[in-house]
Amino acid sequence: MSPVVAALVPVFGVIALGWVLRRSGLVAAPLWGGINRLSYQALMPAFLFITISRADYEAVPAGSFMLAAAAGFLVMGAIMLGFRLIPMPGPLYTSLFQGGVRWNGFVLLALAPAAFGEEGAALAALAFAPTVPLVNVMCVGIMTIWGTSEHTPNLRRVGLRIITNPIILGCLAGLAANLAGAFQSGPVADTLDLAGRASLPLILLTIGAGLDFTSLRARPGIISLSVTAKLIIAPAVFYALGILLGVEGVALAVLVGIGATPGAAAAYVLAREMGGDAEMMAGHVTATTLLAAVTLPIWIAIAAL
Amino acid sequence: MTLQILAVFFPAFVLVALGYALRRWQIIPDGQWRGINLLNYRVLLPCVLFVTIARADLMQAGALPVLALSAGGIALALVLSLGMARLLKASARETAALVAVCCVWNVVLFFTLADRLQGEASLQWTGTIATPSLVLATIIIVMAFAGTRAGGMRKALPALATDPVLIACLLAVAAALVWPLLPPLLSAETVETLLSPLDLAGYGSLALVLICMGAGLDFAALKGRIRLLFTAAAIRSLAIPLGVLAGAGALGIDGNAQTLLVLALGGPSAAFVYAVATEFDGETGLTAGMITLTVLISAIALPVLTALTLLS
Repeated sequence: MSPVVAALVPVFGVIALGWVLRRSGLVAAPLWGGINRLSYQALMPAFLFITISRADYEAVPAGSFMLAAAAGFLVMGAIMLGFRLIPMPGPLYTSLFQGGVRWNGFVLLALAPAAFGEEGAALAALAFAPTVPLVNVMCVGIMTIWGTSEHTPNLRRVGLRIITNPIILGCLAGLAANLAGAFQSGPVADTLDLAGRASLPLILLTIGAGLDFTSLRARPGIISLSVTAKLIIAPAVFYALGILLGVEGVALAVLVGIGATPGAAAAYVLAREMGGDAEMMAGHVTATTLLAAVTLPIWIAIAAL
Repeated sequence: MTLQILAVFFPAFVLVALGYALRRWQIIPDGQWRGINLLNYRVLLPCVLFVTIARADLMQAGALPVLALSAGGIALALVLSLGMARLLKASARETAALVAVCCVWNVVLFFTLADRLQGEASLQWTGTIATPSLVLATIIIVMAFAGTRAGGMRKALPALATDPVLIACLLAVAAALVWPLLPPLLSAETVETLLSPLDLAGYGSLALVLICMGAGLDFAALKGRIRLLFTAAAIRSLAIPLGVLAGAGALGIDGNAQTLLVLALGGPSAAFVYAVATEFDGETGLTAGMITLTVLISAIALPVLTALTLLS
């Protein structure tokens, strides 16, 4: 069995377990809020901190990788803007846009150590720092123009929420610790390591718990389009940019992996808050999560050729 | 030696403290812990138990005395707690709480500390030690709490039949026994791949269970009934591990197995005792106080006892 496929089995297995738990009522839908909060606000920042602080970025082409990752999201943003030419209501378009540009990095993070080794995991973690704010700014901008929220969006509050995002803070603190050579080992690093390890299974379970198959019927045409953008166009764009900027080997595989990840549940939250089409967004996240189990290993294999 | 012991215990107890802080300051509000605890008890704990016990070689050389001492530790806890409850003239409900807290040790803390202390080598014994203790202890606590209320025993059997920990342990024992027969049908690699989602969910979440353990600490419950509280902590955190240490000497168990037995049976009580107490309308306040005190005393006693086994 290829290492990528072997790495995918536990990742999608835990996602499936999350879905079964919610669907069977073993852990009912309203109870997932606390699990979500603990994972994103406490455990995932610890995981990103320790992964980035311990990484050896001198051994990998981190500069060109980061440039290609940021450029990939900008190019995808431009491509998705082009879809505005298709006649459709503004809220539906904002969800199509989000579908094309938002990525679920946690799936890649869970996959990375087994599929790409420590070097790949470190690069996947590093990609969060610039891309999370970049993608959020693009999506909030589009929602502000074409969303139909009854409330005027408080851009200052949205901005503050982006820069105080625990995920970003975890990345930046990890990068600072890496540069300073601090917390690479010792009791603090061990504690963060132990705490951080819990983040990925919990986030994968919440991804599974969030899958909503009924929403797939909401807008099948637009969902097909957004799925094509996310699982076919985006990885192709990241691959092309990687080749163009001289990214190769494991770094190229991780870069293509970033492009090929499924959609993120955060898109659904933003669609609800800022007047997008939340149901279509739920359908997109569900469809891309299912299909990524097939397309993700194919794209990584292509990048590894 | 001191630094090695500190390095093993520090992260685990910091996470317990973190859990307490997250709840105390309402960073994770009270209502949201219900889902987290439910996920722990119904899913993550059974996952980690299943993969650990299913991989255990219950027939390995030297397994019999280890299995016997693991079960013997629970028998000792039962005898001591019943004896002390009689001596202190405890009510039936107080006795149930004392028995439950003394009989159940925290398996997740054990797995975490065992991994930190011995790494992969700990897997040789963790499943073997956990199996008899957990099965016995789960049956004892449900019967203890159920026995104190009218019609409780009728409710006890369905509760045991659907208990996730008990089901996981029994299924895993069956898997561990079937495991050696599998290679002609399924390769070891295939079985490992099938277990990998449970591995990721279970072992990845050890920290979460420790955080929940901290969130469940209730210092307000330490007021009153001091004699019962300290009796529970003394039996759980001192008498049982010392008894196990003596038993290990008598049965000729030494090395890693001896250290792990003390680490397991000398650990604090498990938070799920509180859930069982609630389910059977038991002495929840007293149970919470006893669990809290066993955690506090274990934070000091367990490193010392572990160091003793390493020195010997």
